[in-house]
Amino acid sequence: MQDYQRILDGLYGLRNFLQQLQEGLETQLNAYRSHITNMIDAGVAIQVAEKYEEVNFRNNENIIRQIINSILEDDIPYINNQIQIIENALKDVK
Amino acid sequence: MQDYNVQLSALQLLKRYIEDLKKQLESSQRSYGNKILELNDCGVPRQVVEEYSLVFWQPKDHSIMTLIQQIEELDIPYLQNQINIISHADNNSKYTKEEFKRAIQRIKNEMIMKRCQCCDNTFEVPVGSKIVLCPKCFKKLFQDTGRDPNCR
Repeated sequence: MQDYQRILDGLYGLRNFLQQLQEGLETQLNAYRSHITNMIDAGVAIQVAEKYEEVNFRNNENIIRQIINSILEDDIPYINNQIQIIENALKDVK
Repeated sequence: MQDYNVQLSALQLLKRYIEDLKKQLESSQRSYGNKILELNDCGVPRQVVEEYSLVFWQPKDHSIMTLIQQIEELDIPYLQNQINIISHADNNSKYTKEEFKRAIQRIKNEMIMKRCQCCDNTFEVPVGSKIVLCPKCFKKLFQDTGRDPNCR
């Protein structure tokens, strides 16, 4: 029974970490976007600001989005499934 | 000059933000790896850990690594370059007192004395200038005729 509890703690730990990572990345992305807007509003030459926004920011944003989506759509459901399996096993033992 | 300062500070803030983002990604990448190791320590079945690592963790670890590299190799150098360009332009736009004196001296060295065709007084003009009237006569004639008297 203790073994199952330890496994569950490990899985809960990973799930919490991923949820925090996903929320953190969302916040970072918003802050990133507002820095880009500030740069444009500050009057930085349009070709400089546009190039940064269209090339650098878009590439970075795409990767961050991919990570966020992967956490939400793949990781969390997989971990939840594993948690469910262990919780069921724990119930059976009790 | 004010514009340069605003642009410079926006670019510096963005660069600082990007540098912090890179540090946070590096830290998250380490923590993520440690969490996978902790799964082993917690006794999570080996097959589950391996499956998770291979299918979920590795692609994300690779994405985070790519993002860190992009920031390091593309974003930071690009922003630093723009900061350098604007800093340089900002410095060039500032005329210090010394520079101003030197500029005046340089102009003076290239001046010659001419005699006004109207009042016969002497006045200074740049070398090669086609101006033939002193500023006083120029002003008077301009006011009287509404046309540039030096243009013949």
